[in-house]
Amino acid sequence: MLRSLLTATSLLLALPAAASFCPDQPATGSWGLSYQLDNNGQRSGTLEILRHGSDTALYNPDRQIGEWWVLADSKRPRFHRLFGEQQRRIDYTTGDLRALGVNVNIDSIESFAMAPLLSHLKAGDAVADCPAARHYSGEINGSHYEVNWHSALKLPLLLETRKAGQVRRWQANALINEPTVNQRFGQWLDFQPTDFADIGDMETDPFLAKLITQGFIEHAHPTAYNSDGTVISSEGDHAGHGH
Amino acid sequence: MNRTSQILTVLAKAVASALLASAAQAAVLPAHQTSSSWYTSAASDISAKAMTTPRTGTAKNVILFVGDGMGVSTLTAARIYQGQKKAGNQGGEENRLSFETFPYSALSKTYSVNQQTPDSAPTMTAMVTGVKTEDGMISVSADSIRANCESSKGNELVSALELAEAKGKATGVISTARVTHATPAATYAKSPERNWEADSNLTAEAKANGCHDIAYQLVMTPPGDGLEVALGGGRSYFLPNTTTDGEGTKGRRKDDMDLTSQWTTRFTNAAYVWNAEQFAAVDVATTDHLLGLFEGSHMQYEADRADDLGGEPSLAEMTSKALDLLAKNQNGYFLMVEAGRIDHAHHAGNAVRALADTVALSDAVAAAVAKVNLDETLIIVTADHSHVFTIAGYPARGNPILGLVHDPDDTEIRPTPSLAADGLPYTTLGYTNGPGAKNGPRADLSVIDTAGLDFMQQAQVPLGSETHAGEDVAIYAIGPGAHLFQGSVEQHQIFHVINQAGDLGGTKY
Repeated sequence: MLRSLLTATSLLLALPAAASFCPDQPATGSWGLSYQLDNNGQRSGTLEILRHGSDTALYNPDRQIGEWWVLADSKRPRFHRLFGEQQRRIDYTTGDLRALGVNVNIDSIESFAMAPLLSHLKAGDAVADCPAARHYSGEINGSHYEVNWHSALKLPLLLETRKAGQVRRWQANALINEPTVNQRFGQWLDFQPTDFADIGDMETDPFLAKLITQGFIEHAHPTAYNSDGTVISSEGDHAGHGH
Repeated sequence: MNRTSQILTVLAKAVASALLASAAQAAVLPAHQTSSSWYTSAASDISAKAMTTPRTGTAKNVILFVGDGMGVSTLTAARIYQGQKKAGNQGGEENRLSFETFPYSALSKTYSVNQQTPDSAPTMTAMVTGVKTEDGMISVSADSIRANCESSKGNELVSALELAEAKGKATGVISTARVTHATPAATYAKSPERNWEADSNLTAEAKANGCHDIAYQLVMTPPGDGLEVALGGGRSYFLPNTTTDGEGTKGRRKDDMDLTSQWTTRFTNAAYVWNAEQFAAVDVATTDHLLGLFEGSHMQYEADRADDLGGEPSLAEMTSKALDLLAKNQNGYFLMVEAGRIDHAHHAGNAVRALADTVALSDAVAAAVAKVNLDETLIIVTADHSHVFTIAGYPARGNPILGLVHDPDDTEIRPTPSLAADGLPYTTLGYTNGPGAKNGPRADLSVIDTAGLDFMQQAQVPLGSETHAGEDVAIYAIGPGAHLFQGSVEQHQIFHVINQAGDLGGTKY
């Protein structure tokens, strides 16, 4: 279970290889990690990654928006966008994802796009006070990465990127338990669903019209939300632009 | 004058006309003109056209094909797309989709009562009831208020399918979208809101005032003795939300009704199938009412169909089996067939899937033509509305329709692509708006496979979903009454042609 170690943010900034939080491998198939997001040392939001069997969801509890991947059949992935405030859900079939040119990389989805990048970083030692995690660092596409990678969870406990003076940090700080995860997924199942394919014919629905004109339902490779709650692009661009 | 003498008279006139024309041409046109293959092939086509006589009898059977969102640019691109796949093609542009050889055509004005650019609900309502209505409404008049059940009471419109049922004909609907989607729904259901496809979509007002969802209407309160054929997607709208179907999709119904089992118990000799294997095994000789729901929601795009978990029949296969079943009725039949996913691929800004689905519709029409007697069957092929889909630039003849624009270089295709003012190449196919637009500079397409199945065409105006377009769409027709489609027509005139040609009794002409 949870082993809370260091909590001082200032210390973390000074020592990126040190752990503040070191969870054990959960015994259940439903669990999650909560991350605190910081931009240049200022707290900017919270993000959760939730596992529910073969499903993975990325959820921003502050804005109640999320992305839910159904990956039981790896050849036929499905995807949902979640809008908690409106209790609405947009469902994407495999065909929709293909038509939108979304290249589904399960390793990427399940790891904040980090797993495919690790081979491009230099592996360091085990993280102090968290032997289950190893430190990685290096440059990718002009961004400097500092990562504490938990090999059992296959997730970063710490992800820090630096580019053009911008420092972004994702720090795991809590394990989300099974009842909470199950409650989240159960709640999303009850959201009012709309097929992505139908959105073009539903421009009179105020909620969908807003999404269409804002371009929120776009063809970006959905991976995660940045600290502002907008989608960040996929691998190699954690410090990059939002779509 | 009997029919034989009528035909001989027409033939004589045509031959005389052709001879006169030929003599006149010989006097004024140079040999290199009249011997040109362009000239001779067109002259041959016109001679054949001059000998065509309208089929003025009654259409015992009517088949209405609808390509959802199949505008004229989609037809052009699809014919080239198909043509360039044919061995020995001359560039692909010379190809014709199956229905483009039909003898009669017209342009259809698609506006609805309240919108210049409509959606599928009022357009299909217009086609099957003869009355334009407002967007989002299914076979209720514009006196109704959208999504208000009470306002729709007394404003229901009668469709051609219902008239056919009243005449004792067999009826059917086929769609690669959900069978409860706007286009098929307009033939058999009444709803002031197209999205009321399952009971879980109904508002409290709708329930209180006795409106039923569209899936319910198809099975529980159908026209006449019930549709003989309903094939397409939308399975989850027929199943309770406590069940998960064979492809892992949860039902959407909150009323605990399983409408698939209702279908098999309410109708005689009824069958329900949900995958290709079951569909292939259906014996039409012993089946009188066939429900096939092959996906939880819409069926797969044609380009993805082979990869479906449960297996899906093609639109041509569904059309062919439906016709075998419907033809058992001696009074004739009315069948509506929709290629519903052309529209969806366009909305996603993915041209190739839209074109593949258009070719699938062409194949379905060809399957129907091969099976029916055109002396007693009226076939109409049209679209409900268009899309902002363009064929741009000055690509050379034979330039790949999904490729970058390459200008002609005398008889060759220039090897380097044409460049736009931003110094970048561009594709022949594109969209005025949609998800293919970017904020900022265009992507450099020179290193991208623009013919790839998942390529998204570039667009001008950024929108999350590409939109419908308001220009006219084409109508192609063959069979009794087809000659009534000429020139520019209002979309709701389609019903009146069906009604008159089929003698459905909706109006006396």
